[in-house]
Amino acid sequence: MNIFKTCFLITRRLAFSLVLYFFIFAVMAVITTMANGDTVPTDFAACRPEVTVLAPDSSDPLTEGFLTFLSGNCTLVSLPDDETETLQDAIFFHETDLIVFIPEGFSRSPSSEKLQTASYPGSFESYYGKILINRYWNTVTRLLSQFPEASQEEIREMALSSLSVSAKVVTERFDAPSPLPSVYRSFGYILAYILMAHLLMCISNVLLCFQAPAVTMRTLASPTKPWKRRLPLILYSLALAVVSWIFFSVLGLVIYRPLAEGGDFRLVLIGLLNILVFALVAASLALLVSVLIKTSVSQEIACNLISLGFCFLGGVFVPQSMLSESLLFFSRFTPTYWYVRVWDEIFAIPDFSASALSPILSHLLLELGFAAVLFLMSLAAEKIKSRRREAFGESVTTYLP
Amino acid sequence: MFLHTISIRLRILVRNRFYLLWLFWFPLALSTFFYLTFTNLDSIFQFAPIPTAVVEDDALKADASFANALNALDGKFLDITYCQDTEEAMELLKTQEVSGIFSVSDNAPLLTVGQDSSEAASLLKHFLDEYLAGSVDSSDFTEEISLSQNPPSSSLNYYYSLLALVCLYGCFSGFETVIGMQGNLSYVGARRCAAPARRLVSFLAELTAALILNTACLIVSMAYMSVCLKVPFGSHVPALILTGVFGSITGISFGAFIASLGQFRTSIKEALMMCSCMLCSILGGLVVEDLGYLISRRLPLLSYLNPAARISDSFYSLYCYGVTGRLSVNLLILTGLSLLFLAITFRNIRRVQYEHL
Repeated sequence: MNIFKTCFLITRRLAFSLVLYFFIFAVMAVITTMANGDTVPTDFAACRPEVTVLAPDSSDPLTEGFLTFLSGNCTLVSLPDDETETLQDAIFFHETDLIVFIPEGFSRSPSSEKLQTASYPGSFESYYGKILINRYWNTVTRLLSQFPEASQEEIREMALSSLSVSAKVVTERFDAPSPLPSVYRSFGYILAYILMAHLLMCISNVLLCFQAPAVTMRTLASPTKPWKRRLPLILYSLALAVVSWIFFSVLGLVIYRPLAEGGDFRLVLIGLLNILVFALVAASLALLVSVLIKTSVSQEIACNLISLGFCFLGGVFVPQSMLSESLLFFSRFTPTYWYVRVWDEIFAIPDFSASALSPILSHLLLELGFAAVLFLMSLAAEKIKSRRREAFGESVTTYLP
Repeated sequence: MFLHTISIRLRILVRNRFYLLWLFWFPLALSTFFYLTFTNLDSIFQFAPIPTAVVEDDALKADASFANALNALDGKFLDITYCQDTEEAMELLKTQEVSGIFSVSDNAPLLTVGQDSSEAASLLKHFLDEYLAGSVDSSDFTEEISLSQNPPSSSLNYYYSLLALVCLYGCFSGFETVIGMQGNLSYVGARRCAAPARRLVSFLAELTAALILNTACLIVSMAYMSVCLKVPFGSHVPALILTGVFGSITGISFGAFIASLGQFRTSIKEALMMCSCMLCSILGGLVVEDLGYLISRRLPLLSYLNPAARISDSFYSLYCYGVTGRLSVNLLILTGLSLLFLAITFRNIRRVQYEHL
């Protein structure tokens, strides 16, 4: 097991660089997931768009009523100032969905002029926010025409009373298991990129050392069979895949606490199994890449392009539902696509019956199929490469008489 | 000597595959990935009649007002499927063929929805609230205005952050320049230490060559994004190029700064440099679109000191507002960072002497 031990010696020598990348990936995982998703509510919750109201005369009774109504149906967002750049930045970066400008004196005659709004074009939240705005002012206008002698305070109270009528809504869960926090799903998604990039980098860095011509010639001159030379490298890749799986799984369980948030532990187990299978896929891919590359330059670019390419195509950074059909056709030939599909199915599983679990199981087997194919390709590439002249560097072996 | 050094260095850099891969091919590939996956990111919400199930039982028939209201909405706001009983409607809801079920329970209308509170469910509840409140008016009190020259887009910040990363990748050449001047780290450095040439002149010449190539690669990337991928940058092309130049200077000086630090091994310095670039880019919004903005609101000092955030913010402000004071502030900060890095680099590498080489 000398080669196996040597792999770890090389890893120790490169430890600082690898740990630094490890740290960056862990930070990236935490940052990207913290920026996405809250816990999926188990009961119905209507959309609450984020609305900013700019009203110079907010003490006006009808405007006060408007703010009260919005606060019950939206999330009111206050911005540091009302400069145009601040407002536009807030819309561009989704801090607020809709900005409403209420001109002075608007509430005295609401039907005579319009409220200016600025919003993110084509978003549902801004559409729904405008529905709520129109609902309030339609009610106020109707009451003003019905009760022309009433004061603004009375109109406000009547409007709020009329708008407080809320329909009864029942949520039917169909015996679905307790959902995991959606932030844990975001973590599962980004883990595809992290595992792939990390394993590609670590394994190819170490295996590249064994491709030096002097090392290759010395190894070929030793009385060991080809599979015995290759086996320690494969075991090293597997060991690294398992260690990475354990580390990132524990990181996810500790930071996001899916079980503590009331999630079903069976869903967590399936998620961990999905991560383990994908780690095996990434290890197989790393074995293939390390056979094909020759220098550290090509190693770096290959690791980055392959991991990013697979993850973009597979729907890691952008949900698969938002990818075009033509792109999804090609995505199905990537292991990341099926990895993300399993996560989506975990979060949509209606129950734990055989019919509900069979798609998950089949997609996991598909991922294992990818791992097997990539592994076999690495063996074939290694065999072809070992027979070529370049494998022996510049020297030529001749028989002595 | 200055021009001679520039020409030699340019030829070395152009033949350096590693440098070209990261500065030329990588942004083209990544921006193409962005284009392929972000196509539908700005898909516009368009209202369509919501698939809804209605339980047509005796309770609904007894509530003629509600039944008539549903009939009036059918085809316009709702796409109603009438079911004989609750089980049939629940089956449609379970298979997500409908977004909700309207029924009458205890002489009052009831809405049943699935576990996911979808947008359609919110609209269904709104319709039911309006019916219960007796609202019939539908005047539109809103008038949409635009606050910027160009409309917002969810994918733009990713492209701008990518260009910021390309600027920061100039650190590779700055790093190599300083390593090539240090006699204890390279043979070329040892030869230079022994040569009767002014090191400051050759150092500045090499940085200038790196700047020329970095800016050229940046312009090619911007041209590819603008022409082939239709990424909008606004109309201020000279300001865009100037931003790229300032960003490249910052990146190159950063690489020189890292290379001049301490007695660490070259590999450790390289890893530190790569990780710093990646971290700056991540915090500038390369991976999460809104992260740079969130940091600028919650931790403004960190955002101001992050060169990737300043560069992508410069591109963003050019797109939305044109040439304004905001761009000037960003360029000033980048200049300050570059001067700081270069000053520390000069202090670390000037008058270095070796006992023997």
